[in-house]
Amino acid sequence: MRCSAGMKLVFRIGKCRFSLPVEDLVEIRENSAGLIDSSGADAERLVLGYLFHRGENILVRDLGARLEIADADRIAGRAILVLAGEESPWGIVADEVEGLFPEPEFAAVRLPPVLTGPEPRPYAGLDCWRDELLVRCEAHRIDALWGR
Amino acid sequence: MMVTKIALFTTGGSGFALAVEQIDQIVSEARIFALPLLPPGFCGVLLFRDEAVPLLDPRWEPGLPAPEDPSGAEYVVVLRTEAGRVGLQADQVLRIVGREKGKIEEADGSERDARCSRRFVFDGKHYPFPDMDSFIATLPNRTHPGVPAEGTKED
Repeated sequence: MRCSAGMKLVFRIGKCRFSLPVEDLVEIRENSAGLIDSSGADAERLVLGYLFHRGENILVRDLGARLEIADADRIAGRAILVLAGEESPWGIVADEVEGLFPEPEFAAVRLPPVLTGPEPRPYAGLDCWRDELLVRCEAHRIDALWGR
Repeated sequence: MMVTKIALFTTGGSGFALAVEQIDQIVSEARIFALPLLPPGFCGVLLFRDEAVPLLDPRWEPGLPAPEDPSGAEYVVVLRTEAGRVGLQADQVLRIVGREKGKIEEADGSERDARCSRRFVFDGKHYPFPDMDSFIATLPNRTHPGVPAEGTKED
């Protein structure tokens, strides 16, 4: 089995593309339609429902809505990314998973000061990957968007 | 900054002026990347010399018309400002003229905007001539509203 250390996941939500260190990733569940128990959905808390994962129900949050990414840019048949939380895993929905790539392919790019707002900032910086700018994700920072 | 040359552009069929001394580069067919939760006044970023340069949203530009194609203009003018580099979209690069060929003056009541008080008059035409540092300073700061705190999973 190929070692995934020193890798980053590239995924897309709407028109925005993201990178995530593989250390923050627990599992990828493709073709998420029907996997989420939406009876636990909470629109106010931007919770899509629950995913049954390794013997327990985990929250699946709507990161696209939290980042105000337009619904018109979203697609169905999405994947669920199970992320490593401080206490327990939780999930987000991605429109497309592009794959895992070696960390040396990514170069950190500073977020311009005029684009940084007050804390909690949704993301700390950007990655340049194959001449494209990606939002650099960290599970704990995404977690903080939900007040944790 | 001493202004010796003025660059004239068009966007949305109307013209505007910028000091050449403030221009880093005019980029054609720039690739614009979407970022979530951008502050008001910005609509994306471009990669320029290994740096992320924020792109001003033309709908926020003082006294300037929007590009014909809202999804992206032919050119991005990369400017140096006190807040760092920013990009400004343009449909067409008209020409560069010496300052002495025209006149920088205060905009009158019909053209004047709180964030664009100047114009460059050249060859009988008025070109809004925004002070980009002042304009950026007037952009509202964005706050990120929090999501209501979660309860337990058994909620």
